[in-house]
Amino acid sequence: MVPAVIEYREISKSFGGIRVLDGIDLTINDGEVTYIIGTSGVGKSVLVKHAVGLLKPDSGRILIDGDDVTDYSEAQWRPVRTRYVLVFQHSTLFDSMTLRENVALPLRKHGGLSRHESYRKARDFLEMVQMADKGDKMPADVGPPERKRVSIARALTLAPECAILDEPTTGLDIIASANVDRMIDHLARVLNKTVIVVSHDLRSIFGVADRIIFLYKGRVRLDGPPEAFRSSDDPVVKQFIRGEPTGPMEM
Amino acid sequence: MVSGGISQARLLPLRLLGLLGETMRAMIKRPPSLARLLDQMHNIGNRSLVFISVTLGFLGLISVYQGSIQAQKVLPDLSMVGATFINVMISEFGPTITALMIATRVGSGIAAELGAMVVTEQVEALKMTNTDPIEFVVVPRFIATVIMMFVMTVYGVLVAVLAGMVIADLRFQVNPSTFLSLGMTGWSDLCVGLIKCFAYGVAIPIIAADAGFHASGGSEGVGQATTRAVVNTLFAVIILDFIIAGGWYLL
Repeated sequence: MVPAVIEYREISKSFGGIRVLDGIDLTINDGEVTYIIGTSGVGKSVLVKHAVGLLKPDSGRILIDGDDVTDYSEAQWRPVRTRYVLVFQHSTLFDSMTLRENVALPLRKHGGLSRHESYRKARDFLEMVQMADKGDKMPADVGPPERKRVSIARALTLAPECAILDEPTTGLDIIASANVDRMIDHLARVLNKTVIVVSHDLRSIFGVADRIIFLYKGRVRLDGPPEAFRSSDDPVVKQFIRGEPTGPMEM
Repeated sequence: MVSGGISQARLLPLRLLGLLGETMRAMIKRPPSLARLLDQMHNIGNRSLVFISVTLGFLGLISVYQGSIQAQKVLPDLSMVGATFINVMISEFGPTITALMIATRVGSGIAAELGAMVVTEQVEALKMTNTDPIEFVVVPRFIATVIMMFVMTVYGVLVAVLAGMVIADLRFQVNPSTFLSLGMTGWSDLCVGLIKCFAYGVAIPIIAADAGFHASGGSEGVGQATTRAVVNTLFAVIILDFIIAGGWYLL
């Protein structure tokens, strides 16, 4: 049996009286590429943010590598965040820093490297995502695909065990999306990382995923391999796959 | 809605005290680099210089002109106009008007910057890189505002006194050496002016940062946070002025 790295037990979360997650029970396994999918606002990003302590559940427990982290303080979360990294939906580079400084920041803050040493290592990571020649540019000076690559490089600086990517292909053209897919594949198959991807991109999902978790109305509607998702008889899943504007799915 | 607004208003002082405490803790634990501090001080000075020059300059001109016209009706000569004006500028108008200008220019800037960082998930990204958002964002702005509050007040008082001196000489034939008299200004006036500078310098960045940290909902939320920061900081300056001036009078 594949060991679990993240366990969600009966997780519920509401915002302003609206219940976004409604008793989610879920296990993320080691070494798998897991895609979390669903319509906008269904709570996909909310779910993954719980795994790195950026959100706290209203009820339920979260276990990371078997440890209950639900009530962890910020200080306790720090070592967890070196092993479990999150790449945000909008890349989220720091506007006031160059691309190199952005990548170097976790090396200095988490890794304790000097400024000089962190810059040297940051260059290696920028090279990995073919951005080494643009290290001195500011985030505003490069396009969304390049920002996305730099944010992935920044997340990988600490050699995490698990990378969580929140909508990595949103807003990218088809070529840039394919590059991101290749990077996800590389992370999982070559670097042996556990990868969790929040996505809407069906092309990317069917090309890379080992497992798909479909969220609907704050609960897990379907959990299985891509084949199970594709051949599902569930009318809600079918409507999602076909992208039909009308059907049983309530928006 | 109304009760929600009232409970928020009740919570605000507690929240501000909490943020002030966390800022002090972060400041002692890891003071910002001199380069970052100088950068913030330059930003604050640069943003406010023209604004303060124009405002305090015209305040000096108008106050001395109007004051002298009224004084002429009851006093045989205007030899004490300068001494009185300098006293009022040092103990009251200098710090308070400068603080109102800094609250408008710098407070709004801090709230907008932090608000934008919150809604674009940069604050969460800071946590992911083991960086305390308060240490990284608030502390340099806090120290810089406290220091620049003193610097800009001294500058503002000088501008207002020089402007007043010019109008007193040209319109009322008051000799500049007579105008530039500290005869009515004692140590206690200087002390109350300095206390006000310090109190405003502490209040403005904390109130603005709180508004920025509580921004939500995209660009509209950033706009609302900026407005809230300006209103709250102006309100705080007036209240602090009343408390300090009243307290000093009673002592």
